[in-house]
Amino acid sequence: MQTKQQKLDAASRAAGKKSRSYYVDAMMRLRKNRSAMVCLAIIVIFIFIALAADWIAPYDPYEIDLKNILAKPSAEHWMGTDEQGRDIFSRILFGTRISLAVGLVSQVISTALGVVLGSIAGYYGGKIDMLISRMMEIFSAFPDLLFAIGIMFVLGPGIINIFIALGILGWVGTARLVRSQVLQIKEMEYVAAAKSSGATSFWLITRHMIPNCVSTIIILITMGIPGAIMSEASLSFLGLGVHPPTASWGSMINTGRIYILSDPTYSVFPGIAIIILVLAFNIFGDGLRDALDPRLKD
Amino acid sequence: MEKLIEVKNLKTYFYTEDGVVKAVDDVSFSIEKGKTLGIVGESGSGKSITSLSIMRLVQSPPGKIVGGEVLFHGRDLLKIPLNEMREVRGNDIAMIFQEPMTSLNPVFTVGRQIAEAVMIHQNCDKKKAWEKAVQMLSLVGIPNPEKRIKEYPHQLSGGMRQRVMIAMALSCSPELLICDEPTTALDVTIQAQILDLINELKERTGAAVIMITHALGVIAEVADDVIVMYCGRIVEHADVHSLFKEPLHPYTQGLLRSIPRLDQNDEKLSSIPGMVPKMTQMPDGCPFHPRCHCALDICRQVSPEAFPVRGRMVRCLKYHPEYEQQWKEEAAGE
Amino acid sequence: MSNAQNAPLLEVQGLKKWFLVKKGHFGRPDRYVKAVNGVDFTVGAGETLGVVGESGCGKSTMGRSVMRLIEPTAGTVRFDGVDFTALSPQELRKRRADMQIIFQDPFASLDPRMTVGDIIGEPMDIQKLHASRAEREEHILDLCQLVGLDHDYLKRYAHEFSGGQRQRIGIARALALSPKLIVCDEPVSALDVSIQAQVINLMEEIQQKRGVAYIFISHDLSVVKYISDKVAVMYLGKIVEIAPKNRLYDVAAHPYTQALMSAIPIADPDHGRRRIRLEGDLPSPMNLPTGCCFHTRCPYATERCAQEEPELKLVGENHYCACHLTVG
Repeated sequence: MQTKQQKLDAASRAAGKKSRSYYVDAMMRLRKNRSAMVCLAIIVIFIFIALAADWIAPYDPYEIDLKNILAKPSAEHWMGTDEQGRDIFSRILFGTRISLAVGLVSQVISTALGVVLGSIAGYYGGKIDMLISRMMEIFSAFPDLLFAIGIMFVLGPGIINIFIALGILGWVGTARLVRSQVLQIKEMEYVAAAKSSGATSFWLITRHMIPNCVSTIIILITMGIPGAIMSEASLSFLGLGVHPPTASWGSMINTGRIYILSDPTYSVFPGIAIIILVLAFNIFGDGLRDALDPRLKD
Repeated sequence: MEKLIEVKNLKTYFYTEDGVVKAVDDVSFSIEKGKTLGIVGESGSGKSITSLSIMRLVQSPPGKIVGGEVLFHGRDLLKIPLNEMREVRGNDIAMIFQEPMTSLNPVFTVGRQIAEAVMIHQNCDKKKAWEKAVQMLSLVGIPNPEKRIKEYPHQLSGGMRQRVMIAMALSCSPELLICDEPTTALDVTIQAQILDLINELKERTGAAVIMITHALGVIAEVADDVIVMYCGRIVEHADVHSLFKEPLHPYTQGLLRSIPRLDQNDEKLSSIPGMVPKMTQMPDGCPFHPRCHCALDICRQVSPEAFPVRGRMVRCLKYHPEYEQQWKEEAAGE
Repeated sequence: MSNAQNAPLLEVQGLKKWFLVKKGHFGRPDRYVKAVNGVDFTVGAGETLGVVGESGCGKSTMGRSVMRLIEPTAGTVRFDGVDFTALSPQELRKRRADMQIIFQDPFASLDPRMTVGDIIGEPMDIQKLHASRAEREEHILDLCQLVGLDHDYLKRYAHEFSGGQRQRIGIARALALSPKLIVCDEPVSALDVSIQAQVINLMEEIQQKRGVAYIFISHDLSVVKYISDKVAVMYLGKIVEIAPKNRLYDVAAHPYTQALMSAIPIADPDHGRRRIRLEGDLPSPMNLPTGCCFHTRCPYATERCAQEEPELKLVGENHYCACHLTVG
């Protein structure tokens, strides 16, 4: 008994020293990817701005100052003011909230839908798979933006409706990928091994299928966020997005469009903000995929 | 006999995140016309990288040929410009790989692929090239070549695909054919057909062959000379008869004893303990010493060079004249 | 001795697995791949049955159908006195503990997201074998010792290990429920020569210690000869010959077995040989030849072979062969 205990101790000691899980490995690889880390830093800064906009913004983004409309960038107003004299810099800071919220919430909705439907279709196959697959085909037959416009038209503008529209829009891609992943994992021999020990379907799905899909899902979320941000900007640009006077990058570009010849900076600054945030998410997503993709492992 | 190709002190290193991997470390050998050289080794022994280095097909980065010479008809292939090297590949030296499916383009018919190879290398017109393709397919024993030539790779069985690869490799009558595990993915009866075919074609065309494989049985069947590789180095180089009759290097001995054989009855298999060391963490001294049943202290410190023993080259201190005495003393002491 | 003691551990009769490839419409018949097309054999307790054949002969499908990892199309599998093919899903899940499997691919067979300890412990968790965690850990450590794995590997992930070590992990998992029979599906084919011998020796050692029976499926006749007590040769979904190993390797009766044996390269350049050369390729299992399925490639085929299907018949002591030309 003594020796058994010693063995257990030795095992746990050694384990503490050497355990290197797949995710630890992936994070180490990610940390070596400099551009991904820079983009992560940018994303973190944007998140900080979104959370702290109340404190860091130099002006109230809704404060109308009619004496000072369409001011050029100056020491007082770094990015100038808009047609109602509101500080553009402050409005961009507050607009971060909308963009990030839309990105995150819509992805949560679409991922939840996609994972559930995709894994059901992949695991059970047959008629259920056929039904879900046909649904995916119908959804992907519409151009994305047109589809979103249609939903927004029915639901009416507003942030919650944007969440719903973009969430419904995004599930197809996730479901398709999860389905193919599950189909692949289903054929893996470790699944057969678990089955040969008497595992139930529930066991196979929760212990093998889902843990092996997680990295794909993480990548999908990261890659889906910039798309959602762009869609929100497009919808707001078309006037189908958030209610004015809420500051949103898309609606700012839309209003700035009128003054593009006299005051180009009005729409250029929110445009730059979109570009930076979307690019940061895209490059970070690429890096994350490289780090998590097991095919690149030795 | 004239030496067709002579490899001298070839070194190919891989620069990885975990350090430098000496995939091919000071490998030298030569082949005469019409002979077959077998290269055996386990995975990671550097046998495939050796052949890729000769063809200058090592992926770079991370791989790099850092030294040595590959003299083909006296010309150093490592020094000629790339466009000349492209002429050599296919024309003078051809290669066959393990998995014929990935080496054939799935969207073209096999005939087109062979004909294109012929057209590139022999400057002939399309009609002639197709005729040649049919001829090659019948040469490698594919029934109905006129019909098969219009088929796509996926319509052929594994053995047929390997035959197509051989036909393609031989279509420009190369002087050297490098076969990298050509039969590993095939069944035994098909393997026998392919080995017979390679032997037959070698005799007919007088080409030299490098046969790379992990299967000792295949080597015994086709090779004239054998190189045994371990961790990027040649540990033993001998003619096939003496190697199988009396292997000298402990690794070769271990390998031969660890395969079950049809012609022998139920002797206990003796396995080589442990496993191949990580290429980034090579042990000091002889790389085989951690697994060697007769390793001595000296083996942990000194990494021997290859030297001649009984008409062959061996890389083991056990046989080295300088250390032989020391080895015997230590062996006696233990 | 009672009848129960005499009965073999595993008795397979008329096992068939047909895969539907094309549904026949408008009155045309359905098209099947007849991967396993009626096989009978027995395996005694503690015995090793080797199954050899070329790729596509149905040997892997046969192994999985016996375990009901794939539902067989027809036939019965009596295992340890129970008709496996008649069990309900719940009963089957419980009974599965006695019949485990080891796979060829040491990479696809271990879940990359699980630690080695959890992989070996998974069967115990599924069958709720242990009440306490300590008991489970102890069992895992015992298994590690048995298969020669270091204890400090347990908290690490499978991708950190070489093929040989992974195969040891797979063997430990298969032994976790102390099965009576293990189906070994090409367990050493993916390993290096020197590691192959280690794993084969380990499997022999385990058999001696635990008395487990093996169905050892492989394309490598030399390995099968080494490890088996008796050997079945499969061709296109059928067993064409089955015999105690020494009989089979000394006096192979079926022309296919003879050709297969003569095709194996022998690691001796001075070994004289007469090779029986088989022409052509394996016919598609979707369009099986009439009569004897081997007649299209058989050097001795006669008119009769093309029309009449031969039955397995006794040609020597415990030696069965399905060929019209061999006399009993």
